[in-house]
Amino acid sequence: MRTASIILCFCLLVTSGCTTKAFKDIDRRFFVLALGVDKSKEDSNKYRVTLKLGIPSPKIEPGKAKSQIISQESESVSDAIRLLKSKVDKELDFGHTKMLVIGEALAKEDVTSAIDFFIRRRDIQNIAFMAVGSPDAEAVLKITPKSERLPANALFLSFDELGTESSFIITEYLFDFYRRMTEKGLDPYLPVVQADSETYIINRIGVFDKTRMKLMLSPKESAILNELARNIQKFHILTRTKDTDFSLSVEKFNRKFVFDPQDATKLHVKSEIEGTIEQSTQPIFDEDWKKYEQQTEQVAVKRYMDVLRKLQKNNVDPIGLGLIYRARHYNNDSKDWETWQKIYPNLSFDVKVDVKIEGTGVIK
Amino acid sequence: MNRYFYYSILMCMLVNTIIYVPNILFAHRHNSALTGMLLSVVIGSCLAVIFSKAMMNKQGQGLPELLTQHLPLWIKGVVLIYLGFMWFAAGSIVLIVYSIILKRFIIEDINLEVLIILLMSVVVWSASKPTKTILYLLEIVMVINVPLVSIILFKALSSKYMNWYGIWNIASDNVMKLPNLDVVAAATYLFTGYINQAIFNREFDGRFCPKHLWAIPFLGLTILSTTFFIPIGFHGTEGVGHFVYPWVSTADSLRMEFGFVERVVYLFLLLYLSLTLIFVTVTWHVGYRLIESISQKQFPIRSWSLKPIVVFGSFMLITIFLAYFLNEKQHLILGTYWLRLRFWSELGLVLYVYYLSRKGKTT
Repeated sequence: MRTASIILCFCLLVTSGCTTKAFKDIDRRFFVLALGVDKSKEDSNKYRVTLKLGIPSPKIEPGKAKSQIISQESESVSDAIRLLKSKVDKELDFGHTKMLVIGEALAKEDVTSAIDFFIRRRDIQNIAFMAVGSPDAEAVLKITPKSERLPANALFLSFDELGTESSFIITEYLFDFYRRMTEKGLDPYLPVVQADSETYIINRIGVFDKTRMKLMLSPKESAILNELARNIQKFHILTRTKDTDFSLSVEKFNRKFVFDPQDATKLHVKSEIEGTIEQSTQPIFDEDWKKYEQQTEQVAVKRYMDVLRKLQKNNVDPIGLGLIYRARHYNNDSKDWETWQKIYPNLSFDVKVDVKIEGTGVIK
Repeated sequence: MNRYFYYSILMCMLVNTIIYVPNILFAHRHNSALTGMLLSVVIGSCLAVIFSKAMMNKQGQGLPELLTQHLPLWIKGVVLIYLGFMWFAAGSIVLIVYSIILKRFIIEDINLEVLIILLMSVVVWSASKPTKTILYLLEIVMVINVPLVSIILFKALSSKYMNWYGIWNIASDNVMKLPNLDVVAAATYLFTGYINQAIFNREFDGRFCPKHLWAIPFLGLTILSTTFFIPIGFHGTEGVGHFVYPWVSTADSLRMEFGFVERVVYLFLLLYLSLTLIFVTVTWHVGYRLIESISQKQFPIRSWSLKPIVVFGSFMLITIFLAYFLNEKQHLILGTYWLRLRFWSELGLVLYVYYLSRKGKTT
């Protein structure tokens, strides 16, 4: 019994580690909430790393979120982090880093080593949100919207699909970006966050090949890519013809990609759209809805066709058509991949959209 | 009592993500992993059924008693020491790997040896208890953990970020490949829990007759395919090979918006803390009992029995040395070799035990 109590006391001595360097109290830590990586403006070989540190405050009120921004230039991201540690009085903690922003200039050049740092580091979460910062990451991190109740929370809410739900915002997690960087036939994309004077504008998507951003889509195209790649449910389609002008708010959406069994270079895109009319220049209720449905179908086909062709022309594949091809063909995997690389530039699309109008809203 | 047999099997199935089984499977994902897995479901369940039938014939006897009847003392001693250390190695590998994971993902700054000593002292204390106590402990831990495992599986399967095309690509392109020994050795590990019956059989009061043995292949196939396919669905057919601990990274890719904690990885690590501790406790206990039963003498020094001190002391020393001198890559290589050696030893042991049980019946 005495031996047992001595061992127990020894265990207590070993585990009481608050004074050693192993365990730091929460008041001796700085929580990094967002991390931005830019290309240095002076020296093109250097990175500029910016951290947004949360400052705990006793009151949680809109507009009272306090944060501190620190930046450092260095040859590598990890080196810059080490140098940044000498600029602050507390230990940097990356356990709550939920936003990783890559500057536009760096994104257009090469993101591999920055992503490698993020994914290799054990304390940066795989479910951190990623974005491209325009004009640069630092400018995005410096903005504090007036409605913000907790530091950097506005960015988190924009992406976590619990706050705003917009068809222009695409959510991208770190693990998904890394998967897309390595997978054959599935290319990465990132939402582009533009710094406005007091708020963010997030309505474009940057599409990457495996290493750099190849094209930036317009807001309209971004919403369409969001539909095709992520199958989002809430968006609208504007139909304009000679005599009508109405917009359909979509409530149910589904799309399918099927390769033609006879012709390997043909892809059928089938989609089903159900929704209600949200705005119209004339009463629709008593008319024949078939006509409006057909008009919307024509518009929808053209929307999808334009984006699919644009992606094809740039030889990027964020929807993952290559992966679908690999999965649906049962040859040797590397052979499938080689064939696909030859097929994709000449792939023809056959888009079929089935629109169903459910109602006309409150008025006829 | 018969449910305890299944707890032991389930424990070994769940602990596979720590003992490098996924790493070995992913290394062969583009050629023989799938066929190897299917083959090992057949081999693993056959071994489980044969072994439990043999143990049913020898009610109330453990492996040491069985060997005593048929082997001279010195051969029995060598065999039992070898088997005891095989059991110990299983626990030791899991303990070291889990400590490294714990150090990496939760407490970066702690000294690895200190962490291992802390975990080991808990394990040794509980492993030196009577077999019945260990069985009760096993039941409690499994009952607590199975719901947590189901939450993680549900979160993974219902995630929109799970890419089923990648999974289908890996599954469909490799159905005609010949199985590879490494894969079979790793994947049969999932079924190996029945082997603890070698000692547990003593405690079943002569009433060991497990029903529903047919459930073993189904359970094994389910857990094996989730182990293999879910990380592919999250990290892609290429990316999955880039991770050192694929399942920890997969758990880190899951998000619980409305959970206690957002990051599922902490739930996963908590779950595997208890699983690791119970697994090491069971394996070290069985290893200790096997070595201990070579001789009936107690070798007392004053009031202390020397046997547990020597056996557990050597277990602890070897573990510390392994953790201190080898790096992560060498641990992986060691784990792979151990899995291969285990496969052949297990095959030999099960067939021999079956032969002994038949022999005892006819004479």
